[in-house]
Amino acid sequence: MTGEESWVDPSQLAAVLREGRRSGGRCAEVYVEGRATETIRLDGGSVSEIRSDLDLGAGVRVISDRGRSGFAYTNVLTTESLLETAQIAAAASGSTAAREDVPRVDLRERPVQPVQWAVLPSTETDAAVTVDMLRAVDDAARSADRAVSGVQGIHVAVTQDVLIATSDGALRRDHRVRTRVTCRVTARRDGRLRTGFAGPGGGCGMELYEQYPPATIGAQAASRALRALEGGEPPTGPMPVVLGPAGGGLLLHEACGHGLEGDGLARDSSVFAATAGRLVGSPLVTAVDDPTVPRAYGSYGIDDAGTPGQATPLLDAGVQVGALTDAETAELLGRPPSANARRESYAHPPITRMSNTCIVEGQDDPAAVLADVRAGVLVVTLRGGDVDIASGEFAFTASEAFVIENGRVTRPLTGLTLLGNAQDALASVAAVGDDLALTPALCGKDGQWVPVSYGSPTLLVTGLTVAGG
Amino acid sequence: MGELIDLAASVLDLAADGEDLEVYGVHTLATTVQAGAGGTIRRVDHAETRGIGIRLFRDDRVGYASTADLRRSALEVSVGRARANARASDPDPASQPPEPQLQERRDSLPVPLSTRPLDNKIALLTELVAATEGMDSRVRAVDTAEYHDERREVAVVSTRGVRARHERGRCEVWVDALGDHPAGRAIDSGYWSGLDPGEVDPEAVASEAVVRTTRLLGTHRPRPGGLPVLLDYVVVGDLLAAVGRACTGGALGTGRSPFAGLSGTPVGSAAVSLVDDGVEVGGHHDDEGIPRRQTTLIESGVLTGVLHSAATAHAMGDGSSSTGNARRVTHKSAPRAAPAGLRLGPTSGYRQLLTDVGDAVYVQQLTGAGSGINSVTGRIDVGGIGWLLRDGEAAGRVATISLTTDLVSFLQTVTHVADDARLVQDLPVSAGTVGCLPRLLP
Repeated sequence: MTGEESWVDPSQLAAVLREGRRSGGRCAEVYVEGRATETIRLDGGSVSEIRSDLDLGAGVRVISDRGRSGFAYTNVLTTESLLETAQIAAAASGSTAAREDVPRVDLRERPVQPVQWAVLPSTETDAAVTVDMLRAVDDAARSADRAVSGVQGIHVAVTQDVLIATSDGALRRDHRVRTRVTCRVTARRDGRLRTGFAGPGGGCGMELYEQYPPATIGAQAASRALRALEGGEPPTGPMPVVLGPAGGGLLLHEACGHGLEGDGLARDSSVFAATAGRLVGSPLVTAVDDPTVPRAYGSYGIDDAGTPGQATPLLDAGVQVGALTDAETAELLGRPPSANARRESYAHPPITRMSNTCIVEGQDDPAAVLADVRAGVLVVTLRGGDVDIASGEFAFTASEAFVIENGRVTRPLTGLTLLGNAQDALASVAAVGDDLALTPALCGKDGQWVPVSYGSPTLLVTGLTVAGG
Repeated sequence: MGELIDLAASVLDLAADGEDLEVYGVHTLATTVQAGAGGTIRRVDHAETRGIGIRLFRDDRVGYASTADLRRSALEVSVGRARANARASDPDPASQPPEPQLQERRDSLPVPLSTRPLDNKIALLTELVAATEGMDSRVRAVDTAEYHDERREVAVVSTRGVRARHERGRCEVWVDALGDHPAGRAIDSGYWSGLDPGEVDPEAVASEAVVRTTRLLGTHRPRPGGLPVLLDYVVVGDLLAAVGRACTGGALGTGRSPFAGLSGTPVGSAAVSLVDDGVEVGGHHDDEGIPRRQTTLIESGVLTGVLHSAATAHAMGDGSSSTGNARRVTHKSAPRAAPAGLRLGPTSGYRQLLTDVGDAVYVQQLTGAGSGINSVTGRIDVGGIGWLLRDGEAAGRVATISLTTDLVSFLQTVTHVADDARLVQDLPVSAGTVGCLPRLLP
């Protein structure tokens, strides 16, 4: 726990909100956060880093009558410091007309349904227990093959308590926990050096290791590195691509999800800005963003502006039906807020972001999807990629891929890149499996990193170009 | 600002017998102003960050803790956590506190931005947006324009006698221009960085954004084969940043580098000379309080140098010493060896480069660079967005290019390094235009 109960008193927050409005703001918000982070790193078989970080602060945002946002924050949670922060935020918002008639804000606590919880809180677990888990990850990776030349395991556990008060009188609290373990393996053979990665995580505590046993994590990362050592050059050109749940999920997140974030839509800079209500994808594709998925890595009970979490349909049978918004972008787009205001910490203003984004399960058997491909590639995981949201063009690099020949998965591939266009890719989804799985990740935008997850069932996509070699 | 080093030093007396403490303090003041189309000011952010990072050494073990709560009681708790973390760590002879290498320095680099009123910053952005939107009818609007200034004070003290402090300022202005064409949209930026926002020329930044964006508009034509390749400074920045990461002691010492075992051998063409100049861009000391210096990494294509923190230098076990390249992202981060200011030595003027290469493929942006450039294996698997250079002029957008190669192959194809180097946004790299042999592209 971060001791959230002792940080601030609601009467303090009411005074801060009043100060923000008294200084000319149309509305104000205070975001108070306490965060404890435990990081343990095992590198080369040795515990090289154990760290404990405590962070505590409050961010104040004031919106002026002209819609301009002013933001300021402080690490010092005294009434004097918080009031000064509100005055700075109000001045930054361009508010000029000071008002003395602003009524006192009567804050009332609103219930929040927690969606992340720990049975075994990671930040209260003895470091020696976690070190044992990491050693098991390390042992499994090293014992996979003599070609394994390096193993790095990192355990990161976060406990985050959030308190958000808004000038409409709402006071909400959210308790969030996240645990993630990552394993990076390097393998070397005949002068060739390749890497493999595994990184499960969730909105939970040490029970993560029950769902993902350490030996499985190490073995998975090692097997990916070893397969990459054996990988051959990919075939190139347009061809059918089967994407596994992690691969399809990242493609959705980058190629579609970012394009449906309210800021890009409101500015008309997204390729999806002109296609609301239109068919932009295959009728097989239904996609949703849902921060209420229990114990998922990107979940929250309230977003970082205090709006209760809710699922937002993005695509319905290929039709663009939704947008990811906060209060400001929702107003600009004429939509209700979708609870997608997120921030890295109290030191950052909220911006529109995804939470847990996925393509909804279809009805195809993944094995049958593969069996129907005469010549193509299977991309199990993508290492990453990015999209030009203006044009929709993207490039993604595969971290695990195979050739498909006559419906059978044959040899591994290395250096495979997928090139395409977001809307063309969505439109060319020819099959959707019934094996949805979520993958945890950290998503970066405008210099802020937030936890998310993405996923899809197995997909068959025909509108992609395979490059590499 | 100014009392940070005294606060950091006050923590040192919490060290118990047999322990060494290093305390890293940071205090940052920053202002960000963001504008959108038509010069509408979207938001203004004021940020003030203070934090203390603690590294505790005992019996070849090390433990870390940090806090943003600077009260004495919180600092005592953090030292206790670092102590417990050290006890749970494995012993490593390389886990030794850095020894002082300089007398106390209290350097202050010029920070004229601190006195500039907010109204002036807003006026600068408004002018920048107007210039960008009024320059070329193919530019529909500005997507985002941003002004950011930052004043950062860092103090490092230790029970071994390290006592260093510096204060630096920086300012950035950038604008994204959104271009329209029936064949598709394009977006690119103009960027300026420096110390004094009074030196910003809004017309010049706007012009850069407009030129870069409009060059990418038009029908995407197939790329002709066999042409030399020109890499834009932004592309060169991404590639050099990966080379720099691969040249750190942490990467080379653990074999997590395509350059491992290649010291003293050619890894690039004779046109490649790469230095890391921490003094010029990084302040006088690194984040362990060790003086920064210039380190030659590649000289005429031959790998010659390594970037070290105190720990990676110790771990080499060959008498290596820190090159002043320890970097902490924040007070919450452990110091790691990292490039401070990479730059390639120029081999020709920019005009001479254009004359020498003739017709070429110009790669202006990379897609997927964040994950597609692997500094461990050296693999490069990214997409390239660019245009055709014909008779010294932009002659049309080419279809997305697949750039699949590796860092060594890239360095070996370099034929020219132009003298137009400038700081690359968000990277510790100054880069200019680079010419490469046609075989860089498949």
